Amino acid sequence: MRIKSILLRTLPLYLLCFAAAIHVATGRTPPVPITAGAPYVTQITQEPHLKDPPKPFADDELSRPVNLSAPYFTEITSELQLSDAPDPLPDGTYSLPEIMGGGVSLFDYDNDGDLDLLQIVCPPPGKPDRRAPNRLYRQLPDGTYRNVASAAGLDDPGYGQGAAVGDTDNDGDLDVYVTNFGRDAFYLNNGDGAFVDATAAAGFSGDHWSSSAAFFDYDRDGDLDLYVVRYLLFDSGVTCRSRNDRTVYCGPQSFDGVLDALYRNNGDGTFSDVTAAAGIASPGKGLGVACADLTGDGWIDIYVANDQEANHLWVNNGDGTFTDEAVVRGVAFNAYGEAEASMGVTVGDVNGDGRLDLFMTHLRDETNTLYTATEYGIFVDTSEASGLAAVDRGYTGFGCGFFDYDNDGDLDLALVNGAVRRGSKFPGANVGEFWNVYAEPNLLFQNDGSGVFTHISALAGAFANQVEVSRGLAFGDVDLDGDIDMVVANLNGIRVFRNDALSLDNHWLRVRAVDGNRDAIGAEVTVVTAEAEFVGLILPGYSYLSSSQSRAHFGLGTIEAVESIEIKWPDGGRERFKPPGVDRELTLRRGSGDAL
Amino acid sequence: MKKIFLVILSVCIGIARVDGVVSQSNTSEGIPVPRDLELVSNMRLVGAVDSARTTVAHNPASAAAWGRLGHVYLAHEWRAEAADCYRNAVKIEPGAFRWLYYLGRTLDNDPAKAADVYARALALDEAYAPAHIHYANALRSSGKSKIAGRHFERALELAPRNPFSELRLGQLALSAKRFETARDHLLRALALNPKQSEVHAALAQVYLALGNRDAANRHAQAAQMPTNYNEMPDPLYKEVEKAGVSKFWFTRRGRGYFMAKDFKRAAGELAVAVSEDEKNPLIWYLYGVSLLGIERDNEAVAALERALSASRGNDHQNENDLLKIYNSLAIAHGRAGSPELAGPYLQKALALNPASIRAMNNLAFYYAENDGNLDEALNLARKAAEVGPDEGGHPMSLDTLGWVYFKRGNYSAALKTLTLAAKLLPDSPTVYYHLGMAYFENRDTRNALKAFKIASKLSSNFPEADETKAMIRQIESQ
Repeated sequence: MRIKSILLRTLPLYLLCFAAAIHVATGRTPPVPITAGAPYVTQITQEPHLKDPPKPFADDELSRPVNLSAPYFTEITSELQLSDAPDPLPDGTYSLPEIMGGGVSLFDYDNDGDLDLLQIVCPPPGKPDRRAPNRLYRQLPDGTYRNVASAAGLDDPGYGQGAAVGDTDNDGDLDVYVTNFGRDAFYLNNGDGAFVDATAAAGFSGDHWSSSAAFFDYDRDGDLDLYVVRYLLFDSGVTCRSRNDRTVYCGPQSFDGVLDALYRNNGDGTFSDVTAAAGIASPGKGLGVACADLTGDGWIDIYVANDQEANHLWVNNGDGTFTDEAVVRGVAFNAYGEAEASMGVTVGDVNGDGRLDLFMTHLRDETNTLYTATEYGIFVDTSEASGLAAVDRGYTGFGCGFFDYDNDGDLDLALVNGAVRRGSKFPGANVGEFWNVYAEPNLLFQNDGSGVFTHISALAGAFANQVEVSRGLAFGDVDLDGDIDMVVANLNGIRVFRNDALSLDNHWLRVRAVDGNRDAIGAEVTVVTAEAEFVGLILPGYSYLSSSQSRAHFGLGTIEAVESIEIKWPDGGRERFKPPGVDRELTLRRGSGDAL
Repeated sequence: MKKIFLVILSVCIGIARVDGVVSQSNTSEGIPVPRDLELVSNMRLVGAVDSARTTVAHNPASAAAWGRLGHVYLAHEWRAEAADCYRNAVKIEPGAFRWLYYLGRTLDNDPAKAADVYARALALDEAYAPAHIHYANALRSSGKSKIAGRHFERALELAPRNPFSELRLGQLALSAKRFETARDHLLRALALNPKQSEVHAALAQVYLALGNRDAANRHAQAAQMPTNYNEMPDPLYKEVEKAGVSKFWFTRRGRGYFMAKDFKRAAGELAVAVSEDEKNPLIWYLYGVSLLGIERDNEAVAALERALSASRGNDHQNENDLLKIYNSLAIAHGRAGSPELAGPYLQKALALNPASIRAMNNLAFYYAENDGNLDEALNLARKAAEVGPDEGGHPMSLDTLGWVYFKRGNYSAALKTLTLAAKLLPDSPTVYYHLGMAYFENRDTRNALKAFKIASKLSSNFPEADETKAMIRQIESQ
């Protein structure tokens, strides 16, 4: 029986572990320090299309009795006539796609100066193949919303997940890429209130499970390229059980990962898939993405939050290629060296040191993770020292974002939750017997300015009181009153939360950075004052499956005067502007400031 | 009787509110019952819960009975109920370290509370190293890194040469930006266990911070390899694992025994796992190979055929897994007396992945052993042997190449190749048998005898053992 030998020679090979090849890092240039002080020429355009320009608090507002117990966020979904009733919840069939989406996007598609809203919709329960048209809610002059998706041609019927928003043809209006569980879709804005499906014409194809996506100009050629995160190769035949043998939603470990996609904008209305040429070669199980210069070298990098696998930090080499440096820079795993179930991701300078930090949401029993950038080129997991871990371990986070809800000058944090595994029912959960054990309240944290956070959900009002299964989260000034509101996408519909936080005499400034006809996505904006410098980003693509208003919003606290605003444009150019004052939105056009 | 009443009363009180947390569990006769137990269809699990609960009902003053029920609950993710049980065990045996330790293990998602419980446990017995590790983890997760470091160090004193403590101390130092200290701990961890990906990941960051980009990249690459273990052996927690009776636990224990090459135990555990999940190709595969390991060859064939049919229904079956199934089926058929059925599986394996070194090697060897196409055997064996270890090559391919040369009658090339194979695989009796044959055909009976004797000394139970003994007898009788 000669073949017996094969067993002996094969068995050790069975036990071999297979490692994915990774691309090693190359030398990087050191971070560019933030500087200030040189003289400049002022040329500012006041935002022309604000219906009712935000103003500082009126005298009578300040003289009103202060109600310290008033909730910070009030739900105004019905007031805005966004929806009369919640959508039906998914069936609870333990099919993974039904529990993952979808997202929400805030953008001004018709250029009328207010934020419209795109709700990404999943198919109705029990009918995964039925049309599930997305909803485009246009904000009307009275501040209410009306669904115009069909008329606008943005009613993509796919199994919706998320969207990326950006002006891809530099014509001054915002185009939309919709990610689906299935074929994605790309809609070009005609500029007349209607979109045209340009998926095939632009060169997008393929049938994947895409999750988040983001536009950014990685090659500095003046147009927006696109990164599409893909989740996994789903197999509906795979079923999973818990340790106590009850059927559960399968985790990502039950499926194979896939490659994300990087599309280069050819500048002629078409895109080319340059994933392989760019070196994006490691498959993952991605859910969240944020594109920003995380290494400080002036080139925009890509951070991908992967579910129960090492995250990716695709560092832009400046030559059209990328290298994954997540491990060496300390953002692949948590402080224990463990891969976590990363879902949403956000980026911002939480401790005022001028460096961009990262935060991402995770499963219950894991902490969400705050990676704080250091002067050594690496990030350190400060989830515990920041005070976040002590609170958030009991929740499953999805959408998230840094924002200065009270305009006090530092980045606070909001995140929305909803389990993917059965848990204990939270008090107040009322979404049906099946979903009650998945529903979780959302969380709001206040930053003390040093990157240490206090849990203030008790003051957050409806945002944190409503115990639901939440996924998407987008930020923007929906009511144009100078503070940032939030829109949450739950499994059964959207909710809008108006920011009613008491910001006393805090001042603010919002910057729209325009390069040519379009928002300069990826631009880094630094507000310089005598007291401090504030760093912000023109970054709509972050959170989870969502897209937010593409403005850099700065809370200034009691600072009443800004010395200058510096913009680092996505192509590395730098410019300084002299702002006319605070408590307003400014449009800073490239070329109208002083080049640095 | 009064004592029993007090115990039951305390159980009821304890269940209603324990350490300020309202329990999620129901109670029946004062014994916690998971709310969703009625939804569990696995009768083995229901039976295990019933049995453990009955034992408690009959022995409410027995800490061991409460502990056993706690183990059943903890193993099946009913943490709140497990905690209630362990709390009762603590009340009954307040001086026993283990109940507090188990209670701590139920509180992994609440590190502050877990830290309090571990502190109480260690006050009773501070010599159990895993408790220091878990206490330190809980402290660190509660933001008390300094004290955590002391307990990682204490675990190191109690269990010297413990890579887990070194890793954690390194990670703590890294978080504190004490990069040289971090590097020293991590290098010690690496020396104790070179296959810890967490160590490599942390070292990559340390070296980047220290400005050594090359070393950082090297460790980042090494961090992609799976870790071979990352927990300190914990005999107490083994009791919890033993209480697991769901598919998860049979699979996990089976896989553990499989990796330890304890195929008899692996087959026992996996037999239950496959009965619970007949559609899982991986479990059938592990079961089939375990059966091969204990020479239940016909059953192995049946199990591996099930693995194959289960994998056909799986659109995204990993190519690697399928390769393993084909190769194992070939071996199983060969050993079950049907070597003619082995060839087609090896050919399928190669067709699935023409670049697979394993597939090339196995098919070449099959051809050599079964009077197959020796030209193709040589072609495949050469290709497999040319691949270096960095690219997935294996020195066994050299043995195959040497044996193909031998079968083709090219004895000098066979001797040269097999001599090299023996240097690379000095523990393989098969290689020495082949080498002996090559010497023999090169008319060097002295070295042939030497090689055969080495083969016999290495193992008395390898596939060519009988042929080896016969050759020794033949040479010695000359």
